[in-house]
Amino acid sequence: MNDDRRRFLKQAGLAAGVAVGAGWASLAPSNWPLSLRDPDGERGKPGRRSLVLPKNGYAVEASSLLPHLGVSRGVDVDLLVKAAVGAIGGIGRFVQPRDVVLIKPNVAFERAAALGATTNPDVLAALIRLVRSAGASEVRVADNPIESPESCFARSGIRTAAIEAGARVFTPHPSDFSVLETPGATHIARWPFFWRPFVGVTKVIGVAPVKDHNLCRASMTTKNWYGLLGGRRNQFHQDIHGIIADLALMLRPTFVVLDGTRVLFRSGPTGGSLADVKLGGTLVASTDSLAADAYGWSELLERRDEALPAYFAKSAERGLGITDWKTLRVKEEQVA
Amino acid sequence: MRLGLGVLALLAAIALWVAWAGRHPDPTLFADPHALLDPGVSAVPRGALPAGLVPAGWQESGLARFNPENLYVKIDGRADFFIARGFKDLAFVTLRETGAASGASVDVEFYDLGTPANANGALVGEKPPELDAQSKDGSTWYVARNAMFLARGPYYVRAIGGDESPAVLAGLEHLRGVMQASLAAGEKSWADALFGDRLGIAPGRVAFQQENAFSFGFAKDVYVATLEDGESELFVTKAKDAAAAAALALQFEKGFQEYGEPVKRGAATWVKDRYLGTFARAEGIGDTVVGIRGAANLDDAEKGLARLRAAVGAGS
Repeated sequence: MNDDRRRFLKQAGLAAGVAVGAGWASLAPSNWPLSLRDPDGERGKPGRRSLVLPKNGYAVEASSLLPHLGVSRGVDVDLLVKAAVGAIGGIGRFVQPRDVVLIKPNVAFERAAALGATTNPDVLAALIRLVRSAGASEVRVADNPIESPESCFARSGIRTAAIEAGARVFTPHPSDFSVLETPGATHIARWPFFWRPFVGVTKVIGVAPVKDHNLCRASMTTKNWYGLLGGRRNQFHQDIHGIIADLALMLRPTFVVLDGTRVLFRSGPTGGSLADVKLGGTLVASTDSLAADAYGWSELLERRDEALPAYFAKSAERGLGITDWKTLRVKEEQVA
Repeated sequence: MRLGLGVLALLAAIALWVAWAGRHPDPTLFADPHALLDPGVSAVPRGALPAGLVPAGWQESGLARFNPENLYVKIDGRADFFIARGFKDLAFVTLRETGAASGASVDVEFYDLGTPANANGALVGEKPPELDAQSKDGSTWYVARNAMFLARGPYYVRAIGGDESPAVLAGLEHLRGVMQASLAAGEKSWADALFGDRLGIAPGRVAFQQENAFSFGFAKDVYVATLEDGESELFVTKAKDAAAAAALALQFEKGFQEYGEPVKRGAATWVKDRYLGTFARAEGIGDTVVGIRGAANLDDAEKGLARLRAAVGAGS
């Protein structure tokens, strides 16, 4: 009787152990030891290694003297770009000979440039020329649009503008994505990232339009990095402010340019009507995406009477930028 | 003993399956979402999208269809606007002028939103306040420079021209005619009759909010008409009976009080918005809740609500 009981207890204990082990493996969070959970499917992919971006991203050394924000106003885009970047130290502060520079515009939708849903191709071209003038050995332009990449790059005018200005254009293919690790991120601690255009890159510049956004209220330079994510990124719209704060953590650029030549002030992010677009004639350059976006919120979207969207505070809490741009050094310049 | 070994074998098999499944996830997780759409393939059914969208000298291409599961592939970031308005299906085509130097093009987004109220609600929700919509023979539409927006029956059409050239504008007008001729007009809702026939408010000023009207979680199926001042809004919704309508009106009042203070005038309690200084009130009339919000002063608020009350009474 005792032997039977002992055997029963042993078997029950073994069975319980196996059940607990199986439960742990299948249900424990993916970053716990021995967990086999695979929320984004990346664990199941063969032969893919995780990647990390440089510790301080692609940022250059901060300056205690130069303006934080360079704001230029006018019509001539070459002058606008030179003046805005010039105000924060000039292109020579950021790009040295032999740098490989990636420029990330917003090419999210199949829209003509005039509709303001994508980066102004003339601004992109002027930026490429400026970067090349600093001696960059290669300039790349990349984005993973919402709609068909080929159509988006063609109809927005971005492909033609980039190539004619001397850049290589990277449109995404499934094999171009690798898992990027972003320690501390809430949603994208490990997530598929449009990696191929980053191989060998030494500087990263974002250039994004100023847009109203149906969910996060405004899409500018910080939200622009969404276009580097792969996978089922639409699920992040459940916590849109959280994911934008993650994007600020994921990529620390060399600098950003907020393209306020056209402002999609309503019906964003897709737009469609010229009645939703106003001519802004303004560019903002900064090493601080949040500060540039905060300026865009109040001065270009003209929502200075409304509180900033929640992603600003979430990003600032992580020390990723300054949201009160009026406390910063701003240099403004009118050009032709 | 055998039973115990059997249980152990079963558990081991489950553990192996869990491990295997973890390493071999559903391959569709990694599929390129655009590849799932196969745009431009003639096999894509048109659904309710009318034929003959192009005028002479134009060509249609790139037919693609989207459902609630993959709408984000087309309009990520904007998809929720339509999903909140009963989205069922989107058909998309591009129309291009052929053989012309102008390169005129129009993208047509043809949304099936299930009901005329949803379609009109989407149109009103996107309409710039400075533009007036026109209504004729069951269609409501407006043209905003390069683009035309039209609601007819349960369908909402966004026709986006690449520019505002005469060729594009002619293409938009042709498109409106095709939609008018090919699609059945939806039946008038009770609220259309109330606001349109009895109060003379144009359909382009009446929005339908299926969920979360005025950001109140309890407020569903609410029709909201914006008055001439552009700020005051009359609203109505149905409850199952008079008692439910009275209770719902009370919920609205409590909701308004989250942003304001109660103000008594006669027997009625109004709510004055503490930030905007505007007045709001809701009340039950039979199984209908009627109300006004955003009125600049109490006199205008009383007059507006009295108009609505009389119109509801006239229809009952």
